[in-house]
Formats: sequence, structure tokens, C-alpha cells
Amino acid sequence: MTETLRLNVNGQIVTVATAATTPLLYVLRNDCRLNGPRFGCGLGQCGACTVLADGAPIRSCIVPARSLSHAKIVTLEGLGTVARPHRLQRAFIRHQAAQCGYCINGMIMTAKALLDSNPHPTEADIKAALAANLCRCGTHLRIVRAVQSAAADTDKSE
Amino acid sequence: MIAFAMKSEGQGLAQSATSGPTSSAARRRIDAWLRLSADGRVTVLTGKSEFGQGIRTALIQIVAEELDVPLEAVTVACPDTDLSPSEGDTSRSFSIIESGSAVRQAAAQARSFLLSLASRELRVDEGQLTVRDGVISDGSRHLSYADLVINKRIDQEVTGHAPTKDPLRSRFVGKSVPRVDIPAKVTGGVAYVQDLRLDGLVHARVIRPPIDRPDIVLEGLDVAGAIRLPGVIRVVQNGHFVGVIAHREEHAIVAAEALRQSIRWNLPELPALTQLEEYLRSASCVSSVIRDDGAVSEALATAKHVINASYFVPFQSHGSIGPSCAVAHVEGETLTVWCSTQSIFGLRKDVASFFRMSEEHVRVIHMEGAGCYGQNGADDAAMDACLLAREVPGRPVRVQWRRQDEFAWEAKAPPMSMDITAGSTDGKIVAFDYEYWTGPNVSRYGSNGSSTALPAWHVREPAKPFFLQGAGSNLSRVLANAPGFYSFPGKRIRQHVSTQFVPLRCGEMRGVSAFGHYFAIQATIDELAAQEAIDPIQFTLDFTDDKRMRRVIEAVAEASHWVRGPAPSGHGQGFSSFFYDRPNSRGACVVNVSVDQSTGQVKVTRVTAAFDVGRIINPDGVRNQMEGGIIQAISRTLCEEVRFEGQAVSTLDWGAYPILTFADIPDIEVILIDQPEEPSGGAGETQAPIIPGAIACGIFDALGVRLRRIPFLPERVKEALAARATVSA
Repeated sequence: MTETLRLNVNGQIVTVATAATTPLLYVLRNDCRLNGPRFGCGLGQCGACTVLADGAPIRSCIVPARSLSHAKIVTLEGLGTVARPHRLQRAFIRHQAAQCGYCINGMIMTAKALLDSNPHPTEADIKAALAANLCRCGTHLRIVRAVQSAAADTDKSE
Repeated sequence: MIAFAMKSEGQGLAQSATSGPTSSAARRRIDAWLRLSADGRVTVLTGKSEFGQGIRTALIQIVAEELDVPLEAVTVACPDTDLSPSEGDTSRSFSIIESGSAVRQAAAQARSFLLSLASRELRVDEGQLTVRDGVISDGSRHLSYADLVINKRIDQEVTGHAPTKDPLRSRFVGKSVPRVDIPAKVTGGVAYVQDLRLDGLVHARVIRPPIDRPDIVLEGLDVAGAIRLPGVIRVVQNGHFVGVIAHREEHAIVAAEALRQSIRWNLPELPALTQLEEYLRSASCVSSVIRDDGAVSEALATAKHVINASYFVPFQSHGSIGPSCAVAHVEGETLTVWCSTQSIFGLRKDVASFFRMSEEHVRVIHMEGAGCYGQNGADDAAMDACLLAREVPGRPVRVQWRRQDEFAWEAKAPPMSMDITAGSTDGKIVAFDYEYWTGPNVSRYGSNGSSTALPAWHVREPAKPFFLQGAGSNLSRVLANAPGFYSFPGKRIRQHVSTQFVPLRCGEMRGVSAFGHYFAIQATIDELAAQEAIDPIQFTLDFTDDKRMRRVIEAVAEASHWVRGPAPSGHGQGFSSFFYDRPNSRGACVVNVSVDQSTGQVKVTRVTAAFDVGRIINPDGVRNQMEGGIIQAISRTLCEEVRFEGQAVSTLDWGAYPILTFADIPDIEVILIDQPEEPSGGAGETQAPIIPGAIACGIFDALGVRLRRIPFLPERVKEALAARATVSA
């Protein structure tokens, strides 16, 4: 059954007609035409689809869009741009913390939630926060260094 | 070169009946590789695919260096059969060797030609001219490259003799230039084929059983039920191939699931997983002797120390983090497909041959996918998209594989079973008898009624799968034939490559058969060294003459603080080294392992590795690849095994096929030995082969037991400990 949903995505209200069960990921990618959240498994196992809903990381591939109609949804695009990157994005570029890069959306969005609740995470804290985010290329060490670097970056242009 | 407006990256615009240069004559022209535009921009054309290994950035560095233009002025066009030179496939770690060389020569030739043009125009000797940032000057007058070429055609051949820059005076090459693709990837820019959006795009899913063979039989499905579902445009059934096309992606997902519920298959019964090794060894195969020094058996008979062991590596998945995706579009006579193939021309040939189209009417455009590490599902998804697009001409069709689909259908790294008998006397290896069985690599690309692509095996008029004999199974050739690396006598190497599915589909995976070979070979060397009471690194150096390899080994021995522990402390170090002949790269490592003896859990705590890959284009890029390859290989060694049961692959998600996570990542130190005056080698596959042997040796150092079957699961460690306890009791 198609419903009309109103969602708050990166500060904009979008209206979408879709079934009640449609996971948020497909609305974000196909209706909002966003590239940040990525399809990795559709099972909530890898984290490539992570977005923030009221600041908390959620796996958009398994969460119905409908259940987020009252949330403020933020995607990778909502953090910053190439011209004005968020400190996490800046750090990932500075540390070249990507190989194929497909998992990086999940890493950055999960790290954003971590830094919001724990501004000075230890290496162990970072690894624990990312424990359920998968990277097949083996970029883990750089990802940790990038998050540490972002945490230390006090240029608050976020 | 006439001022040239490039088609925008990744977007097929007007149809074209042209083709990129495939003949060697066409590829000898400068403009096969480089285009200059009026605004001073340089576009590099390459047939090699970027998949996160940084090749695009490396090529930019090389061209900027030789042409004397700023880095920012150079871009690399997406490989596109309408435009790009044919360069075979992006594999064997050959991109810098092939494409890097070609664009370097082309850029040097172009610079040389532009200088001669400027010399004529300014009426001064070339020796009086300098070039900087695309501007040629005699000290007072300046001419830009664009000034020189506008309205002129350059019909120049690359002679291969134009002077290239001194590697010891590089401006860009050898520097860690930041990768050009990373900014978009971290800010949500268009980066992958998954991001391609075209007007009128429709969404598709393919329904196949969780098995990757030709011998599946469709017995029934409820088409009528699926057609009635919201948004469904078409249910396609062609022989045993089933797909569904819908307006919105969620419509396709729901319809595909409904079809999966109703569908009935007749599928081949697979052997039991526990019988895999036997099945592999008794499969029909092509056998060959790679090398036989003669009298090997006699040498073994008189050796003071002899060891005899068997090793095994199961099927493994590439495990691309983004399942395969492709878009295809039929417009008039032309079929365009966007995908993350490793070979745009190879795929084009396969598609054209399969559909009986002329190659000029098939256009393949590469867009990045997630890391592929070899033959994942990219080409199959491309063929799926082509099949479905032909059903709805005029509409671009996007096929997205599910995670379960990628695990089930991708070509998997083939299993390997190896037997070694080796002997030594007085500290020297005197005989090394190596025999192995492995699966075929499904060849790329099809022709003559055969196809690489899985969907082509299932349609009403199917193509045959085409098995390639030997390729990828033959990396024992280094042991056999590379002088200076295994300089000991008495080698016999025999190979058996099966000519059937064993029982799953095989394809090359990063490091190819070297992953298994050098596991077995290194473990053997370590075991002989132990019998001889010689340190394994010293033992290896004793038969390694190649100077560059020795330097790599010595670097790693020193940096790792190599000290063998008193077993069984639970902590140990293991060593391994590998030379990959064709990409001419050398690697060695020491790994530190810790084993929890009560659970059997192996943890790699530290890896110290050294590599010599010739002249390094981008040190940070190489370092990134080395770290990544090491982590991936640790994951394969400790965790990974494709399983099957009954009639299906059973490892279909990350729960069933776990990979290394943040919790288990070791510290890694990578030492790069740059050789700026040597040709560049290939970096991407030198890590995998050194890891399993080093870990196995580290476990022996830690516990006094030798694990010979990958993956080194905790239960296998405990079994080995129990077996040793039984023996000594």
C-alpha cells in the first residue's frame, strides 16, 4: 500500500509516495538522489548504509522510511561538502583513509555519532564503535587514525 | 590535436559507432592516450579500471611529470570502448607496468613534439626553451600548449624514444599525491556505478538459486502473481534465466522476493563439504609437469632430513563490500552497458558474441564498483543488465545484486590441495617435490559459443562456460623457474587443473594461486629449517641470491626484532617471503601471533613487512595497498571458507562468512624500498602470498603445532593441540 511520507533529510522536507515497508535507503538514494548511504547488504550487517536519525546511527537498509517521519535525518552530504568539509571528512581526506571507499559512508556517519557523545575517544573506543562496520579492503588502521585526527581537530567548522 | 571536448565522465551521451584504439598501430598514436584541450586541460585515456587501488591518480602523476603540466590540469577518462585504448584487463598487478608505461611514453612524445613546434614558431633552438606548467618559454616569449595545438592536428606516433624525465629529479612521481577520487567518496559525490542515474531508469532483480553453475533447471514459477504486484513492468523468463523489471527499486525487490517464494528449481546435488578435497583430487583434470630436475626421488632418499605434508585451501569469496551492479540501455542498434568490469574490451567481445551483435554496436563504459579483488560478479551483473535491457528497448535497466546473490554467484577463489615432500642435508635443501590440485579459473572472455558470464549459461540458447587451463594456477613457476629466489636443486613440480566445476565456479582472486602455493612452500621451508636447527630467515637467505630480495628480507628481519619464542608460550613469530615474477615485486613479512590455547583463537598482533615494487609512483598509495592487502590476507587465513550443502552455497551473508573486523586488526609496519631507477613493478598482489605461511609459522613458534588447512579456525588449533598431546602422552 503506497503512502505519502514527509521526511526531514539534511534539513529539507521531502515528500515521497512509497509502500509502508520501503527501507529508508531506497528513498534516500532514488527519491532524494543522495549518494552517501550505500547498499552493502540489505541485512543491517555491514553499515555501509548508515545515516543519522536524531543524531543516532541507524542502518537505513533495514529501517522503514515510514518509521522516521518525525526524525531529523542526516546523511554524509549533510555533514559537509568538498568545498566545506566536516572535520571528519577533512580527516579522511588528509589520511587518505579509503581504498575502494565503498564502506566509508558508514565509517564517517558512525564516527560522527561517536564524537558527538564522546569527544575524546581512545583508540579502543573508536574500534569498539566501529566493530560492526565492515571494510573488505583493509583500510581499518587509516580509518582509526582519521577519526582520532578529527577528534583532535578543534576547527569547529561543522 | 584539435581542441577536444570530452564527453562527461560516466555518462553515455550521443550514440557512437566509433571504437577506441584496439590495434597496436592505433595504440601507437599519441592521441590514443592523451588529448589536449583549448583550455590547457589534459585528458588521459586508459583501458585500465580504477577500483580503489589508486591507478587513476598514479597515471595523472606520470602524465603531469612528463608533460610538465600541473597535476590539476590532468584528468583520467573512464575506460570506455568508444574512446579508450584496449589494454587487456586490469589484473595481474600490471596497470603501472602497462598503462603507466604507455602514457609516460605518449606524454614524453607529446612534450617533445610540442617543443619542436615551439622551436619552429619562436625560431629558437629547442635547447633554449624551458617548459613549466604547460607553457614553453625562451625567457621572454611564452607559448602555451593550447596556443601551439589549437586548430592543428597532431598525427604523431609514440616512438618510445622520446626522452623521459630523470627519476631522481621528479616533481610528482614518487610523491604521495592525494588521490583524486577520495574527496567525492567522503562527501557523497557520484563515485560508483551504483550512483548512475539516467532519465527513465528502471530497476531490475535477477532470480537464480544460490548456486553458480550452468546445470540449473527452472521447473516452475508464478509469473502471473508477480506481474500483478505494484510497479512491475515485466517478468522475464528466458530458459532458466529469470528477472523482474519494475519502476521503483522497492517494487523490484518485492516482486523478486515473491518470485523466489514461488519458484521451483531442479538443482545438482553437490558433494559434501567434508569431501571437497577428495572431490577436487579425483576430478577430471589437465595434468602437467612444470619442472622436473630428474632424480628427485633419489635425492630425497639420501637426504638427512625429509618432511612430507599436505596442505589445503578451500573456496574463498572475493566479498566485495558493494554487491555487483550494472546499468544497460538499448537505443536503436546500440547496447550500452555501464559496469565495473576489469576489461571493457573483453566484456564487449563476450556480450557481442553472445547476442550475435557486431562489436561496434556494443559500448562498455567502466564506472567504479566496490573493490573487486579479482573476478567478482561485475561481468555477470553486466550481462544480466544487457539481457534485461534488450527486453525493454529504450529504457535504461539497472540491475543490483543482493548480498546473498554476490556470495552465491561470484566466481570464487578455487580450492587447492598440495602435497610436498622435501629434503635437506647439512643446512641445504636438496630436493623439493611439489604436487598440487586446483580448480579452473573460468576464462575471461568468451568467444566461439562460450561466455564467461553466468547468465549466458542459463538462457534458452546457452553459451558454454569456458575454462582456462593453467592461468592463475601456475604461480608455482616462481618456485620452478625464477633464478635467484629458490636457488636449490632437485625441484619437481606437478600440477593438476580440473576441467569441471569442483563443485563451484572458480575465478581469480588477489594473489591467485600464490596464496596457497606460498603458504605450503613457506611452511615447508620453516619445517626443514627447524629440522636443521637453522633460523628460517637465515635458511631462506642461504638459497636466495637475488640482491633486491635479500634486502627486503633483511629489512624485515631487522625491523621486526625477529626472535623465535620458546614454544609453547602462546606467542610467536613467523616469517615468509614472496617474489611475484611478472609484476616484478618482492615482499617479505614477519607476523607476531598470539594464541589463546583454551579457545584456540589465533590473533595476529603485529605485522612487519617490507616490499620492493621497483619505482614507486605514489608511496602512500602503495602503502595503502600493502596495509589493505595484508589485512585482507589475514582475514582469509584466519576466518574464511565458502561452504556449500545439499544443492546450494550456504555462506550467503556476513554472519556465515565473517571477515576480520576492527577488533582484530594488528599493528602494521610497512617498509617500502623504492627503486627509482628501476622500472615500476606491480604492488597489488604481493601481500596475500606472504601472510598465510607467516601466520602458520608463527603458530608453530607459539605452540609447536603446524596448521596445514586454511582457515586457521579455533577448533582446528585445538584439534592440533589435542593431537600433539596425544602423541606425546
